Amino acid sequence: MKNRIKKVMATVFLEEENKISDNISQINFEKWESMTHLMLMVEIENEFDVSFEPEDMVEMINLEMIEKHLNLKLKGN
Amino acid sequence: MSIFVYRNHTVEPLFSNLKGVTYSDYGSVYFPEGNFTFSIWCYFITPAFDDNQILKEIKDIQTKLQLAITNNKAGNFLIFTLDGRYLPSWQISSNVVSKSISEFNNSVYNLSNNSTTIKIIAINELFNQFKLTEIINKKYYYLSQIIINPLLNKFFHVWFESILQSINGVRKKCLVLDLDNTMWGGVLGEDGINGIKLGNNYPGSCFVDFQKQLKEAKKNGVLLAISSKNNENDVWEAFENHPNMILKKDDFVSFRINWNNKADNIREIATELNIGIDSVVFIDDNPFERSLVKEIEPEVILPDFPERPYEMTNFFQGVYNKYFLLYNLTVEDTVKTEQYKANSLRLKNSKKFKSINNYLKSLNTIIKIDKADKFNIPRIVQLTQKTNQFNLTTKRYSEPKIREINSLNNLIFCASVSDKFGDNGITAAGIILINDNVAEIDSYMLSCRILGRKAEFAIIKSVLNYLYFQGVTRVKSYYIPSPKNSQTENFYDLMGFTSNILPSKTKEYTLKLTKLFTFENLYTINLNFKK
Repeated sequence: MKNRIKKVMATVFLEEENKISDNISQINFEKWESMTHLMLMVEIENEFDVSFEPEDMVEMINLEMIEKHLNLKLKGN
Repeated sequence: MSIFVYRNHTVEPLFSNLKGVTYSDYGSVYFPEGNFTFSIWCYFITPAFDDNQILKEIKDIQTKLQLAITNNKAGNFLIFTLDGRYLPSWQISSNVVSKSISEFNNSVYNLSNNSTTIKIIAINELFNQFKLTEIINKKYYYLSQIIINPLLNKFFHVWFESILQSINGVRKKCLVLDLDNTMWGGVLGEDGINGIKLGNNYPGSCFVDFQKQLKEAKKNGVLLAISSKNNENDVWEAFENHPNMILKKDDFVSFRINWNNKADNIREIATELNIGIDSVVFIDDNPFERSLVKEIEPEVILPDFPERPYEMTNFFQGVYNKYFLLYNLTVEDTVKTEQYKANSLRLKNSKKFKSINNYLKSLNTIIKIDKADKFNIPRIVQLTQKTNQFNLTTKRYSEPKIREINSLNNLIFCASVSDKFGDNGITAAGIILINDNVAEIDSYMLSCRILGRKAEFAIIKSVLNYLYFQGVTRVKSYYIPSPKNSQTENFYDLMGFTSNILPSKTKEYTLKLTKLFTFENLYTINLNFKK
């Protein structure tokens, strides 16, 4: 799952996949701003066929949190 | 290319595929320093609930647009129309909002008609492809003031890019078309003028409409050309005499109606018209032909032809929009066909054949040759009845007659050809009468679907090699001319037979069978003549 998320990030941020590290976050990655954050959410929803609540999206500001919320969704919570 | 976008909502995702885009502040008509190729007016009506508020906003958009146009310094000014289908309506009878939107749109079309730099982009063309609930996604709207659902971005990108191309005047020039099962249903050489499907009933009606589309494309400056495996005389007779034919010979700027491979034909057409091979779009129902062209001339655009006739008109509209749509036409565009015809040099003799053998090998063609049996005889009979073009003697046989010949010491065979595109089924047949050690090829025919890969030689040579091992020492054969079979006129000459032309124009051939035939190793041949 981590690699699939990174792949989506690479597409949204127009970056090579190897530039996306495990500790990527909105704070340490310049291209991750409010607009690309939204696009990232859209593309992750698309990729995993889920729909996040706005409250979740606000928390999903690093790879770890994205994984966490995605896992919750995929388990049906 | 640099673009400045005037906007009143978040629109960045719509243009994220383009480089060099600068955005105005929300609702600002201030034009920044710098050079821009395009200014884009991309305003959306805010999804409000009060009609008066919406009317006020439309009026405000109108005023700002006027200001922006006055101050614009970019080369082109593109204006998105307004579309209010996502706005609420509280009374069915109320049309104040839609009326105001129409007035706004009419006024921008008027601006465009009186200007060479102002161009209109009809957003409803995009919206029409989606359901209302797909157009605006309220979650993203409330999160980010995005009107158009971000899930539509991919469609928007493709759509808008084709619009930019059409405004920049980038388009393909020439449409090369196949005939059989493309411009009409059926095979002209087999079914005849009266047998092809082109008329009021399905599926002929689809081909009529397809031809009408081609005619409009031609009026809009697209050059039409033909590359078809057919007898040229038959083709022009059909264009002249078929009552439902929409297109006429005059509509085509160039044509190659012959049995050469289509990559060569397309290259010749491009050379003749003095256009790049990358300006050609080739439409052919046969995936074998398309794939051959792709292999040899990869720059030619090769759209996948639809499987069902009723899908053809949508298919063609898509091809037109993608490759030929122009924002507007110049006078030159509309008289193009005439110009090209006048300029075109007939270069029919300067043929540059690239080797296609490597391509043919890559197809993994398997030719399976069988003796006639109770399962395949009906198909062999049908081939003798229907095959006109590649048919050396055009002798028609009934099923009892075939059975009778087969029961004697003769050899009736058939061949099926399959390749990576699929199995064409039984597409070749031959009748060889055996008298002691003399073999007489009474009939030999191939369906035109499998021509163009030299299988016609491989099949008969394999059979004759078999007969050589059976002790046959001499082969006799014939070419009997018919109105349709001129392409086979020199077939046996090419195989090394000696000919004698009879008064009836029939060519009578003989060959001493002293060694095995050789042929290019392009296929796997399975000869199943045991027992």
